[in-house]
This record gives sequence, C-alpha cells and structure tokens, in this order.
Amino acid sequence: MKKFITHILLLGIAIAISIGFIFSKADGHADAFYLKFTGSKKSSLILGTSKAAQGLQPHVFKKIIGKDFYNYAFAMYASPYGKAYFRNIQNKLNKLDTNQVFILSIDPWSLSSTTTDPNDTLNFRENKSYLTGISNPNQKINYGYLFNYFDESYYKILTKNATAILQDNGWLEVTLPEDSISVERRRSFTIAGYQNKIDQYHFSSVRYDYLIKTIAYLKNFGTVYLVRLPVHPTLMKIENQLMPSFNVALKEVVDLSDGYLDMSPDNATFQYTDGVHLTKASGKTVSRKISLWSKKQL
Amino acid sequence: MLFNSLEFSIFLPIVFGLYWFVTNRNIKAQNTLLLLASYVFYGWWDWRFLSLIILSSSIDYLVGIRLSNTSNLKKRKRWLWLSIFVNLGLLGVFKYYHFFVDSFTDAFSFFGGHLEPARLNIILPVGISFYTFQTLSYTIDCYRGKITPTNDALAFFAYVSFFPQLVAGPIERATDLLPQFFRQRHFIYQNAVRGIVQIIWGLFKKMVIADNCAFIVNQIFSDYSQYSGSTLILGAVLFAFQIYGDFSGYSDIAIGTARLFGFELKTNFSYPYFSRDIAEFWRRWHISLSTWFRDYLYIPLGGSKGSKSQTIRNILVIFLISGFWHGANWTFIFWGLFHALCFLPLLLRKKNRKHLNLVATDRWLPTLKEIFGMVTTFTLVTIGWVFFRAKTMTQAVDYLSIICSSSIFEKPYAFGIGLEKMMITGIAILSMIFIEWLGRSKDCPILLDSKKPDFLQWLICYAIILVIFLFSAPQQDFIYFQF
Repeated sequence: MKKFITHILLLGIAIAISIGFIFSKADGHADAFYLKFTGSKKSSLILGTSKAAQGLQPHVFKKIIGKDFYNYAFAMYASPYGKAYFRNIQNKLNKLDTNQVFILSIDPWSLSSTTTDPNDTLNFRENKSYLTGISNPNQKINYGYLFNYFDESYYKILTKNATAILQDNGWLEVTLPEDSISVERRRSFTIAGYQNKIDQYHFSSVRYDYLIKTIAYLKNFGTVYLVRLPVHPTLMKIENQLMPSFNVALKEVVDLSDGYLDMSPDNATFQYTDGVHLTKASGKTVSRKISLWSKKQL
Repeated sequence: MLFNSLEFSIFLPIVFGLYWFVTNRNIKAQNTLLLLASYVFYGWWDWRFLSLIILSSSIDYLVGIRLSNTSNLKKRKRWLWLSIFVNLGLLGVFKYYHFFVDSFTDAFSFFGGHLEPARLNIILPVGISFYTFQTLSYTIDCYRGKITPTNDALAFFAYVSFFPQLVAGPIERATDLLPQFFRQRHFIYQNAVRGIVQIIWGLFKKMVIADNCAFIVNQIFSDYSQYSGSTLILGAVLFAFQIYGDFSGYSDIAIGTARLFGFELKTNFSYPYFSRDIAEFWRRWHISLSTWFRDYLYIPLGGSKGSKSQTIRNILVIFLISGFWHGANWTFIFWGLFHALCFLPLLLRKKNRKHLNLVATDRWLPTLKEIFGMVTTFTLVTIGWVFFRAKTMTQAVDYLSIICSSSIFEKPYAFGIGLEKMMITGIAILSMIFIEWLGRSKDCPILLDSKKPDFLQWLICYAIILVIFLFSAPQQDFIYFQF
C-alpha cells in the first residue's frame, strides 16, 4: 500500500507541475477573455459587449487622447450591464487614478434580459459566466478561470494559431476572411440568430439602474462617455424592434454622463465581419472618430 | 456523480482511504462503507431515486429468502414472478410509460379515433435498466438453483448498488459479484495499478475520443439536412467512435475503480471494431448485456435448438428486446431489427461462430480477408448507429437518403466545425485504433506485463493523463446513462 500511495503521489505531483507549467504559458492566444482576468488593475476602461471588445482599439485612443486605455468589454451573454459586470469593473479598476476617461458602449441588448420577468436577477444570463464566478481579475495566473471557464481544449494554450487574439491592452483582434461570400454567409447566419432571439429579450429596468450606478461610480475617477456603436442596417432594424426609441429612453443616463455619441446614423459607412462586429479597419476608424470626439469634449 | 467530474475525483480517494485504512479489518464495515458510498454516488443525481433501488433490492432480497425456504415449485414460481413483475413494472413505468401511451394514441388516431391520454411528469432514473437486470439475474439464478440465496442483507444491498457499475454496467451476475462481498479483500499493488491504468484508459476514451467526436456529431445530426452525404458519413463514423469511446470508456473506469477496492468485474468490451462479422461483434460489444439476454431469454426460448423458424423467432425476439432495452423509441427497435437481419444469415448458414479467436492472432497485421471482414462489419454497425443516434425514424431514413445521394461525392463541409478540431479528433481516433490493435490480446491495451519496470507503466499513465488534460473537449454526459 505504501508503495502504491507513494507512486500515486509522485504521479499527482508530476501532473500538477505540468499543469502549472501549461497554465503559465496562457496568453492572448489562449481564449478570447482569459488575459482580462490576469495582470494588474487598469485605468481608462472601455466597457460593453463583444461589439466593443472587437471594435474599440485602445492603442488608437491612446494615440489621440494620450492615456493608456484598457478594453474591458466581454460578450453579450456575459457583460450586459448588471451586478456581475459592475462588481468586476470595481475589482479591475485602478482606483488611485482620478483622471481617467471611460468609454461605455450601450445598445438595447446590453440593457435587456432573456428572463420571462426581465428583472429576475436570480436568473440573469450572466449568472453562470466568468464575470460572476471570478471575483479577482488581477491574478498572475488565474487558475479559477482556467479550470472553470476556459471553453477550449487546453492545447490551445500552447498553440499560437488563434483566429481571435486578445492583445495586452484588452482589444480582441479577430481575423476572419473578408471576401464577400464569407461575409455574406456569416451575416445571414447572424441575422437569423438575432431574429430568432429577439422575442426572448426584454428591456430590464434593473440593468438600466446598474448602468446608472456604473456611470455614477466611474465618474468618481474621471470622465464618462457613452457611445452607440454602428451595426449593419439590417441588424439595426432588429435592434430597433427591441427598443424603438432607444435614445429617448436613455435620456437620464445620457444626462448623467459627460457625453453621448450615437454612431448608428453612419451604420452603412462601415464594414462588419458578420453584421454586428466591425472589421479591424472599420474598428480603427470608429475608434479614431470616438477618440477625436472625446478629446473635443474633454 | 459523473466519473469524469471534480466531485468524483474527490469522492474516490476519500472512499479508497476509508476502505483500506479505516474499515480494512472488517468485511461488514467495508460492505457498509461501500453501500453508503454507493448511495451517496447515486443520490448525487437525485436522492429521491434511491428509494427505487432500495425497493428493488428489498423485494429481491426477500424473494431470495422465500425461494430458499420453499421447495414447492408452484410457490417458487410465484415468488419469481413477483420479482419479475416488480422489477419490470418499475422499468415499465419509469422508462416506457410515455412510449406506450404515445404509440397507442398514434395507432388509435390512425384509425380515426381521438384520445387525450393522461401524461405523467416522469423522469427516467439514471441506470434503472442496468440495476433492474442485475437484480433480476439474482432472483432467476436463485430460482434455478444456480446460487444459494443470501441472508446477508448488507452484502446483497451493496452488491445491487455497487457504485462503480451501478449506473451503466457492466451488468454483473450475482454468481460472479455477490460472493466477492463475502470474501476478505486484500490490497494487492499490481491489481491496484491495473485498476488505475484501466481508469486512465477509460478516461482517455471518454474525454478525448467520445467528447471530441460528440462536438462534431451533435452539430451534424442536429442540422443534417444542411450537409452533404460525405459530411453525413463523417458524422455517422464519428458517432461510431463516440459511442464506443463513451460506453467502453465508462466500463473501463468501472472495472478499474472496482479493482481498487479488490473486486473483479466482467469484461464488457473486447475490441468490437476489430470484429470480422456481426456475430463476432456481438460477442465483443456490451458483453454483459448480450450474455444476459442469451442466458435469461434466448436459451429459455429454445435458442437455436428448435426448428429454423423457432430459431429465427428467438433471434428476432432478443435483438428487438435488446433494442427496446436501450430506449423507448422506434429507432432503437429498428436498430435491434437491423442487427437481427445482419446476424440471421450467419446463424442460418452456421457461420456465426466462425470467428471465435482474436483477429490476426500471433501476427502484426491482418490479412486482406480479415481487413475486408472488419471494414464490412464496421460499415454495417455504423449504418445501425444512424438509427440509434437519430431522434426519429424519419430523421434516420432522411439521413441515410442524403448519404445515398450524389452529394456523397462532395467535399465534406466543415463550416462551424473547424478543421483543427477535425484533425485532433481524427488523430486521437487513429491513435486509439493503433494502441488497441497493438494491445488487443490484453484487458487494457496500455497495461504492460508485470516483467516491465513499474516506472515505465507510471510514465505511460503520466503521458496519457497529460494528453487527456490537453485534448479533452467540454464535458458531456455518458450516453448510456439515459438507458
């Protein structure tokens, strides 16, 4: 028995060391969000869902505004405005800097809920996500995330050939074929997906209150700007079905912030990988426009 | 509790430690611990269903006692029928109620009638088909005088609920497993290592082969009408490996876990995809179920001893019931019928026992004839799996129709599946086939013979655990839990 236990323990130690080594290699190629849960606290956060995660490029903001921005946007299922995202923003934010600039991307999806009662917080879609499960997003190696929320096989940590690369500044750089056939195929797939889920989404006043809370909290550390990012005109029609008078409904929020830029009138002028997410080139243009606009407001 | 879960990785060392360090001097204490551990293991899903296992165990324990107390044939028969009625009754209610109600309603409406049957909110208890057959074998063997009924309730209850094989087999006979609960168990290093090796191999088959295949198979089957025939072939072949990895992987983990506690369970899979005909396949696939049907149904019906028509009837009966055992759906029944139709020509030409030995015994490579036999058998089995996997008969027929269309010549369409995933799954499957081919004469292909240094065996374990860690796909339930 002693021999068996010794051998099992040695095997366990060897495995633990190997896993530790593999995890230490995890970087922006590993998955779309892991890196955001590692490293130090950050200033000048860009917030929102995947539209902002992929579309808003912090290095462009830095070049124009002169501050180190960090993209702390995630995905529609994980980071709609609410308790989980609010708590995570608080944990990630560098509270020593009171001269920050915050860019909050807002749209009907990030203020809506899929629950029958849109204010049923116990069943909010993000409750099972990493934003709820990870309380400390500032670790060197985030074992909690890697064990519980890493959706890929772990070999991905060791390979460097991902379509989506999370840069050190939090920008999710996605490289997809941009030929018209691929784009059209992805767009029709996305449109069908959004059309299917439109009936499940309802405006949530709890989320709206959390957006207000988030803005009020961030204002303690600097200036807060709101943006509505562009989407493909067909997707815009679907968004408008969800909240037909979005800008009117958000008046209180806009008044609380330091400025609101609605880019939806320019929807048709940008390119999208799938109708929702901006291509890298269009993302750069949009980031530049928002930076210039923000600089003017400052 | 799933074998491939964090809970089980904590549960197993605790039970192992208590078993060998705290209760090791007393069989009763060990049996009590195993019984409690088994109930915790099962109750982890839904503790309410424990009452079914306790009910089934109690009835069969009492029937066994009654059978031992009387030699009156009439009375003995009555007690046996009570056990059969209760066990199959529970199975019928929990597993087949809705199937019978729906089929009856459909048949009634076909003739113009209209029925609004009462629907019950019934959840299928995990593993009910497995432990029902296990307890039934006990009462039938007691009735036949093959085993002396036990009056050790603790050992009997522990036998029925023995956690390594409780929810998905192997289906153990009382004649094999029950006596092991009466014997003193000793810890033997080599056996424990064999157990660990088999658990690791089972986890590899489940987490790397089955779960990666499932990722692709689920996409193809859920949207099969959008794919070409060639892609659907890919889906069917991958499902063949998924179900093999899933179910044989579970059996390996069960056998390995039992070995850690000093128990030996039946071999349930013996490299079935190396079979040269369907008859050999059924001697190598889910062995504990096929032998159960052979001993408790086929032979009592007369087996192949009667006339040709009786033999055909008996074969049809066991294959159809075997299909129905898997699930309350016509697809499973047709799957059984399909295998019966593949098996019957061999039986009628008396060629069903042609391949009793291992393929390519004492040779590295198979002959061309053997390769042809294996490929043909695998093809037939895979066609059968389409019915097994499909949700409805219409879906299965549609699926096979698309395969038979001209789109079979198109390049498989991998949109949404990912070439990298396909390649990893393909390499994993080929590695498994290669390793199993090399180790096909052993219980577990990665088990080295005892002359080799221990270090080498542990190194293999380390390497496979690392492969599992790196290449396993998101966790999926074991397919056979639903049966």
